[in-house]
Amino acid sequence: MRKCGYEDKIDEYLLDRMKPEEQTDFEEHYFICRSCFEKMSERNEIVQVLRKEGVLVRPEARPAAASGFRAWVGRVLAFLTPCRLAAVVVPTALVVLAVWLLIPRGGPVAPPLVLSGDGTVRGAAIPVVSPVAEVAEAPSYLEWKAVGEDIEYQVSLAGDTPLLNASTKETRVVLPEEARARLKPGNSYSWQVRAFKADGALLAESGRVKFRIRAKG
Amino acid sequence: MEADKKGVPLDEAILGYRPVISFRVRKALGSATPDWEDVVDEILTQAIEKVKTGAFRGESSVGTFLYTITTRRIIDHIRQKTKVLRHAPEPASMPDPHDETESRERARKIASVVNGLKPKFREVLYLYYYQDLSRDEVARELGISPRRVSERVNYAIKLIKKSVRP
Repeated sequence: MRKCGYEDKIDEYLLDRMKPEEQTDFEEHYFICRSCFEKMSERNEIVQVLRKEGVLVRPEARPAAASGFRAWVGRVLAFLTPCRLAAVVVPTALVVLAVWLLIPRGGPVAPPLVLSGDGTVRGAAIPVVSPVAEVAEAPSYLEWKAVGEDIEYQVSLAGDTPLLNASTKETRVVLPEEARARLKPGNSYSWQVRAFKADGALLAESGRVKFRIRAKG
Repeated sequence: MEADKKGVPLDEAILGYRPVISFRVRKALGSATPDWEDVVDEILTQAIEKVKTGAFRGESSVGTFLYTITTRRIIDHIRQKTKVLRHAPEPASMPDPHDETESRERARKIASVVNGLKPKFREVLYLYYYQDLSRDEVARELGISPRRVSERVNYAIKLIKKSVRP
């Protein structure tokens, strides 16, 4: 059932808090609105009892600390009417948005994702030169193509166990004798090279390249 | 006899307004006024007379018609009383014993329910109804929002009504 707009005025009328013209209007209304009159009669009976001496006694004083904080929260809540809240929130949101828009965003841009070899690698693929596939003897160097200026390349070579980790600014790395001696004919190995920019950001990566040293005889 | 919009004869419809007229008269004259019931009877009689003589032509609703008569009669009564009271005060009225007992019983029930309410509700009722503070003043006194005051008042009244209803 829809609520009559006058219902909210019942207390004001019963407590004599209406202006004379409002009172006249309200009184005329309850002569034609049975629902309001019934609600008012019911409420009046309660209000008359509440206003009697001794039914409601003065509540005990609250502890100062508790009332202090609650009073403060209450004052803030009482102060924050929807209009005031909007007056605070909207400008604040605009300032935050403006600051966010003004923040420079010039950080390093991550290279695109590309598919290379046996999996997904980040950055452009580095073209490898040698060794690849099958070689006649243990290679003396690992070589790839340059992907830019002032790049540091990190190279790793492994068989069943890691054999070499090296970094260089060249596009090839010579295998030390010790590492080369561990490359045995008939076995397979793999190597990979990664390119880093001067600020340390990964720029490009090769796939893991496999090669096999042909068995003798 | 003519009938109102619902087909009820007008004199019956008018008599059905007795509680509304009584409320208005008591509010204006005060419940302690001994002859408020006489005033109500006079209003009802006057209204029925007007219908019979054709003075009420149904241009307004029955409610509005009775409101106008009630208001005029209250003003007349206050004017007369102002003159009479200068000479002698009226004796107190004799209330109907049955009504009085029933009313007292309901009041006792209301008081008992109020007593069982949580302190936060009693506190608001005390300040709002007994101390006669406005909603905003209660809010300041308790450190809560005016809206919360209304919520607590309405909730407490709702609980009381629920407990008192037969």
